[in-house]
Amino acid sequence: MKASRILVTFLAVSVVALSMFVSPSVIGAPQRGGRVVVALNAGWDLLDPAATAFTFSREIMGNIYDPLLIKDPETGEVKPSLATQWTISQDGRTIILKLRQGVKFHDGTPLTAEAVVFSINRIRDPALRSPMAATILGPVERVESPDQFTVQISLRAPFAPFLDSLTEISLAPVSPAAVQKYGKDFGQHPVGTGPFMVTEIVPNQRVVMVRNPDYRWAPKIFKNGGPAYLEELVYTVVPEDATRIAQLVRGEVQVLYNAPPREVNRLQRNPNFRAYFKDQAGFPRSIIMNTSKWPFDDVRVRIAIAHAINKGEILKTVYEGIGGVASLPLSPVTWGYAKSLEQTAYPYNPDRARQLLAEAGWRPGSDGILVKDGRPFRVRLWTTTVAQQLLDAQLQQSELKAVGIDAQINAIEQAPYLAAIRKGDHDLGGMLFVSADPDVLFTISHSSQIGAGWNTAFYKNAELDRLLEEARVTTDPAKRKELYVRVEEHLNKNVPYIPYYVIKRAFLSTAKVQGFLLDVRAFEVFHDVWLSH
Amino acid sequence: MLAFLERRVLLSLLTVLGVSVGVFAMIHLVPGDPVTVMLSEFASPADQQALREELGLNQPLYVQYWRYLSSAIRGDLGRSVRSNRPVVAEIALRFPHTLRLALTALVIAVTIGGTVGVISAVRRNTVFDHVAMVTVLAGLSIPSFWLGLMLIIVFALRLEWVPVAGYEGWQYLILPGLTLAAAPAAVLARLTRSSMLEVLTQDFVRTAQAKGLHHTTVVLKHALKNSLIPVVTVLGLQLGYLLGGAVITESVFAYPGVGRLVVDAILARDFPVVQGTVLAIALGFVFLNLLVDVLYVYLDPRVRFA
Repeated sequence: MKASRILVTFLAVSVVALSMFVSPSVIGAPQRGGRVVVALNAGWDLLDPAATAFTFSREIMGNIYDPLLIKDPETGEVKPSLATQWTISQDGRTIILKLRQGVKFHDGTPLTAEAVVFSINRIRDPALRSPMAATILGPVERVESPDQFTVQISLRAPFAPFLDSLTEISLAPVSPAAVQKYGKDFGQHPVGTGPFMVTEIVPNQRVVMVRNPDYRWAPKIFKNGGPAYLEELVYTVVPEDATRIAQLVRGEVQVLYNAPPREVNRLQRNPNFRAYFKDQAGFPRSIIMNTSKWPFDDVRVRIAIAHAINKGEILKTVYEGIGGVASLPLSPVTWGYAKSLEQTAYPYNPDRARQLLAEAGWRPGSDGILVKDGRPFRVRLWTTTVAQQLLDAQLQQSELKAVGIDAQINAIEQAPYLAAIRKGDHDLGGMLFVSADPDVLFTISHSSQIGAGWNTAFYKNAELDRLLEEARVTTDPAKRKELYVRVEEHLNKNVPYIPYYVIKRAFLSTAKVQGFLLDVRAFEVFHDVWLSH
Repeated sequence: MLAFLERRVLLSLLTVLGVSVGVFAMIHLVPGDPVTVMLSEFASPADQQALREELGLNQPLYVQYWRYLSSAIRGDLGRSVRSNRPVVAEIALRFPHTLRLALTALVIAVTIGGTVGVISAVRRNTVFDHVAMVTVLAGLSIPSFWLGLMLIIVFALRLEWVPVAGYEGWQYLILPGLTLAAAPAAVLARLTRSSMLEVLTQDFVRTAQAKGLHHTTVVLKHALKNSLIPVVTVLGLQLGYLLGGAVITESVFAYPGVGRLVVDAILARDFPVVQGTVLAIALGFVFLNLLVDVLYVYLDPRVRFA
């Protein structure tokens, strides 16, 4: 009896002891090598930081280039990256950056202050028509390199969001030698300083990157200070949702962005997969109303439409509950979000919508569509051809129909869509803008940003302009926040945009992917990623 | 025979020329100013003027057409408005993939369709014949989108016999090839069957049978060759369709073919790419039909000795 007891205990202990040696994927140190394939549901345009504002381009470029500064994904604090030190002058108009030494571009040329100056000036060059210029450069007057590792940026006026701009990949240094060599084709031959180097691009189909073996300048927020663990990183475009999921299940793809919410909910429960979520900061998904076009110039009409949209329904039907309802033109995780104003958003109330429209002089016509001064309320709702956004638009269309507005859907591909809404071809549209700083509100609602920026509601209001301008030059965080509260109040009252959905970015990966993390803009970071067995 | 071929080549060249006129006219038939349609960006008047000059849109139409034609012959089809790469490069990158997929689908279609058609004809009105013809109807009616996804679920996910999607090797051609082959296989099966039936009632077949030749020899050696003429014609047309119309299959399988390129370009208003791709597909189509005509020479002695 006693002997068998001892034997059993001995066996049990040895099994436990052995298992500690036999499961490396549970404890283990990061292993080098391997290939991760990421499947996107749509393509990108160019991989040139100065020339694109496409979200997917910015994500992919995060692997190829390093930003000058970086924001901590947890705290949002600005930390060093390629610039190890930064000082802002007393009057807020001069910023000095000290660059890290020993950094090289993928083509072997060194990172110097001149290269940084070159890169920043590229965005300012009107010939490049950079869609990010108006957004992130503000009043930059001059960029100079007093010595090889010092960059001096002079502003016409203090610009509070500038530190945030320096953390954007759009201001990341590019290799001047490569730009000279490839000229217009630089976007197809990107050369940066990042942990991965591009070896192959098939436009709108795939980007193949390999580890940069010389990489030693990762920001300290990453655990891995040296070259990336992964041997190869590939982005592919698989437009069909079902195919993308099948590839993940089969292991042909290891990371997946933008899976249908239903699949995310399903696969989360499967131990072979992991889901990662991050609330996206910036301007949430919103309905755009072109206030320069009849009848959206009438604020009563806009408020009525705000009452007609059932945000909860959209969240449930299109996004399967992943994410949240937006009440304000900033997402709740953005600094400057005015929680106190949440309840001031116009709630779903179709009766009130009809009432307001009636008060504004609209009468139902014979077919149920509202008519005013002989003109029926027939407008075009622009959207992209991405499946989820189409569904979104269709739901909005039916909600508008319920109050007597006939919205015809016009779906086009993303690139011309973005150009069209900046130009003002639309009546109604949809937009979001990823940003870690509330200055995004300047980008989407200041009158100077019509056409050149992203004020796609074509909204012009002198009072709002003043508030936004003041917020830009106020360096005291408390005062700045207060100004943004007033901005949000104004936008909520006059609704040139109707924010309706706070995006929660969802990524799926196989369980073998370790160290995956999402940065402050909910963009994926692969530098710390390794594959277990 | 030579006269026949000469005539066919000449007609082919004329067809290509006709297509080039149509493709060239496309950019002018679109409502509105082509430049503002293409450059929907907040383009400055200077940018618009630059594009106008680059495309030669301020010249008289016949000058523009001549410029277009002479560049096209030299292999310059302009630059993509989106990616700024030469159109020829964009097409060249994808054409080999499309060709591979189309040929795979064709081989599958011919094998399955031809075999089913011959057997159905020989065993007319049997169970096999009826079942085959119903299946053929299904093959024509099933949307390729649904078929592709079903094939993925069954063969790639459940059975794991083949990969899901990609283009790194011949295994990746199996599922999209099957998906794309469904409709042509169905068409070929029916056509082979009816053509065979017609041939089998001819006198020379009865003669061959009377001579005591083995049944298979009669069917395969004598009857089949003669029934191939209409089938080969349709084959040429099918291949042309496969070259340009595989868009849905390409989307489901994320396959980088010419179909997706042209549809993406249409949606993005990238005219140079649309024009170039349409021209390339038309060229391919015409060339294939020429090949079919050459094949006639061997299949139909009446042509050879005309």
